[in-house]
Amino acid sequence: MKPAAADSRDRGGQAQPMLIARALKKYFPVRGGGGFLTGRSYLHAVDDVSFSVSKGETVGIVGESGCGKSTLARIVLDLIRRDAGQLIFDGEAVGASDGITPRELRKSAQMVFQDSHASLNPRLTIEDTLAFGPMVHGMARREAVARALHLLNLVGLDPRRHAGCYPHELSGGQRQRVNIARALSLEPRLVVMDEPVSALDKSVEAQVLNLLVDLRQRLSLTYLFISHDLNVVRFISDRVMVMYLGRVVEIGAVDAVFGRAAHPYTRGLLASRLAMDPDKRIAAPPLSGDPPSPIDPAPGCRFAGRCPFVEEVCRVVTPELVYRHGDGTDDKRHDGSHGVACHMADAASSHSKAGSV
Amino acid sequence: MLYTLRRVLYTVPIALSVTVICFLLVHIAPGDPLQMMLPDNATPEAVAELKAKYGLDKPLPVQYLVWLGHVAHGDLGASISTGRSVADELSAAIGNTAIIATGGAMLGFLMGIGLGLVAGLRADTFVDRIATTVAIAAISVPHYWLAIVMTIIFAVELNWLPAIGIGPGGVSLSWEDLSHIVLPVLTLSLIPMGIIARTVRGKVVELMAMEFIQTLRAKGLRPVGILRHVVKNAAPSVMAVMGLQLGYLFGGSILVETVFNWPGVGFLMSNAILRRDMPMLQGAILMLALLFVVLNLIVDLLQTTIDPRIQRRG
Amino acid sequence: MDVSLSTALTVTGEPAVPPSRSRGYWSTVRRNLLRDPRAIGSGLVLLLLVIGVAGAPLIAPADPYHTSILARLKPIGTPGHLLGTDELGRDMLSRLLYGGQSTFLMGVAPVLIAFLVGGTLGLVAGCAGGAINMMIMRAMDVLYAFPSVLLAVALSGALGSGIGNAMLALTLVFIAPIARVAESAATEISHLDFVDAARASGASAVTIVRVHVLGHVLGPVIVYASSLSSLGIVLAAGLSFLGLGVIPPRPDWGLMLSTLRQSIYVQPMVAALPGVLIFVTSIGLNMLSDALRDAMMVKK
Repeated sequence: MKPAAADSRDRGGQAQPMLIARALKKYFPVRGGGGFLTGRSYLHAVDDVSFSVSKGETVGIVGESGCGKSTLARIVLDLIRRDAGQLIFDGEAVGASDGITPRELRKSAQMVFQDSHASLNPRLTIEDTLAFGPMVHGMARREAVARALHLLNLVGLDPRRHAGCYPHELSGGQRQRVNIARALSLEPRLVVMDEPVSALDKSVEAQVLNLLVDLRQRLSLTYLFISHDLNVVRFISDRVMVMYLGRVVEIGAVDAVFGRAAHPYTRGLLASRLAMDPDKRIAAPPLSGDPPSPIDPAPGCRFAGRCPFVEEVCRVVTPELVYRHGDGTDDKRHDGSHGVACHMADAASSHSKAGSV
Repeated sequence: MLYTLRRVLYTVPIALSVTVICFLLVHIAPGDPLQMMLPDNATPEAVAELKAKYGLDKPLPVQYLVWLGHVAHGDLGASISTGRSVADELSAAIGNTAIIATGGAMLGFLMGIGLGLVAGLRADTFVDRIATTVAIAAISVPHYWLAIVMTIIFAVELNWLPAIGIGPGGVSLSWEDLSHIVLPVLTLSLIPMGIIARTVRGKVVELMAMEFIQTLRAKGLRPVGILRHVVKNAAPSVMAVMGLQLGYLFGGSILVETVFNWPGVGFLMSNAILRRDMPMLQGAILMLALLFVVLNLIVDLLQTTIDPRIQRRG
Repeated sequence: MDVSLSTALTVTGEPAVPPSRSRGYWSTVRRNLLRDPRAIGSGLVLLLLVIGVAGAPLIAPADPYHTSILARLKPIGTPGHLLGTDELGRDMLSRLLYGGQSTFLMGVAPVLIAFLVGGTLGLVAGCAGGAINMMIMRAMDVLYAFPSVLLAVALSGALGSGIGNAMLALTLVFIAPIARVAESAATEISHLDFVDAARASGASAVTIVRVHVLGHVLGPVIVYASSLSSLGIVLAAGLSFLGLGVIPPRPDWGLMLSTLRQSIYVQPMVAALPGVLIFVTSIGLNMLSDALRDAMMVKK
């Protein structure tokens, strides 16, 4: 992790995390759940998620489809209003009377969307799309267009050829570069990326990832990188957070999580990656069964239905994140080290293997 | 099941709103509502009686409820021109409207499906262009004018069919009666034919391009088999359109019935307009509108039965 | 893995303004239209009709109100009366030219007003979502519960005859379907990512709608409104036919059809003339609408 360069917009100082998320919750009401006219059902998209992102750091978020990572990304930028929990950006609470408004947040935090036909307005030229953001914040059109052209250069596209184009005239990789340029057009400090390379061919993916690394260094950016692709996350992140059905199951430095995965789900995910060596074939899938429905989930650990180590306590008590310090002691307080939400990691739980992980 | 229940329940506020609008029609008309409900030579006693019956001195919402109560009991007031009960006249007339409406709808559907299939299966060929042009002409034609043209051709020039009226036996299979039915049914069938033809063509073209049809063809399924698949998939939306068209034929009957002097609800409405017979006009509109609502409901439910994937909004 | 890709195209000072711009969406639509024979054909016919009708004071050979007992129901081709005369001896050609004015006005003006009102309602409902959407669309549903002809006749019948009343009735009839089309398009758009991106840049709702949503909604609504105008013409003439629109002796295509009805045994061709014009106008508008719809297909 490289230390961030001195930034004039920095308000909280070097030690202040760029972003702190506390107990974020988002439940979506589901129609026609329980009975007719009675009992609303809720889909627990994000359920009590807490984490922090230090300045200049890249935190990766991994999980399978439906684990809530996309919702989480949008909550961080207040594109979806959270039901509960706090967001603290550079020391100031978002949405609180003594903090910053969502609009102010959006001057410093931006998002890169997954490439799809829907991420760029097909009726606007690239130049217009890029100039839109700055103009909204009061920049004159001429200046905004100049910045747009500069941004195109920054992301590796030739403005002379591409500025007047429409999205359907660009390839997937080029569109994604435009997405990145758009996110940078407001000069943010935090960039949230929701599956930015998932829709790209492998070769193009590599180019775009390299671009992201380069930009991070040049512009002193902090990244929140969401993906289902473990290898990609490993490449770009300093720390990684594993999500399952709306909850965080493991969080820590990327080498710790990938090398010494503690949670059974994380282990299963890592083991599911296909090895390049045909001699290393495995017959039984590491993770079997389907994830349960996120609608009105049962109490206890969400992974209980698929965990090979499941016991009685797992179905009753919801495990909290337990942090392993460098010196081997455990703690329920967060301080940036390796955290696991499993009864086996909690020495105080009644699991037969408590404290063994 | 849940959807069915919700859909049926949703019809209730719609039907009630329809009644509200029908009720308000009399009140948006220029002039005193009281005068409009009575013939010009009404006695003061009759005026007072009507006033009491409909609570015309009470506030509007109360009047509505009183009126609704009467309607629920089948009492739609008395026609100013004939003096007879509106409800009686309407129930006698609705049968006649139903005959030509359903006749026109069925004929229109048959021709439309045929035309649409031909156009869709031979998309972008000369045949398709002809068929599509025919369909556009069919939906553009003003049916009251078409009725006149038909009358000119078949009654005036060729003298094959009678120009106006209903046969002496009403509806039977005698040529005498049928000859009166032919022209109205033919006229009414054009617009549904055009719309169904366009819908079917669109659906066929859409489906033929879909991958699963390509797969079936690649597997060697004979054209008849493919046709069956196309029909099965196109059926729900085409049915919806058909139901809607039938409803429109009922609701739009006034124009064609006027030209042919066909004694249906539309004809009664047309006369009611000329004579400013508000009770009759109001009653006829109420009946046709509610019929349309019920028809839509039936079509929606049928559609869901055939294709459970359809869950329309609301 | 190196990071040299981004340094490959470096900027030195201000980049040059790009010389080539791709075609915009609307200019593509225009180009497609101009290549479509349907659009050209129907456009020409409609243009001719509009010019004829608008220029009636200049073109019409006779006074449309001048009656003559002697010259009643003359056939087409009579010298001095190119298209014959009606049952009161008035020149058909003149009456048809002048008659088009009221028919067009009653048929098209309601569509335009409904386009503005219904389009706005639908746009607001689609973008706002939630309770506002429900309120607006449920109100539309009530109007939608009537078949168009019935509602037009009902409103017009209650209000009484007259051009103004007929136009009011037709406007109300058309607001609901246009609102539905607008709402459906707006809802579809507002869920797409680029709208989220626009929100993420901090733009206000109005700006987002103006820059991003409006363009996508205008297309379907315009296509629908153009097909609705053909219905408008037919319905407007229909209302006059029933005695609910134009008040005689003012000429109007629908009204003329009605008054000439008794004369079909004497001069069938003349009696059918007004309807021919209604038919032609209606087909023209429908064809134009179809051509517009095809021209607006965006290649993905």
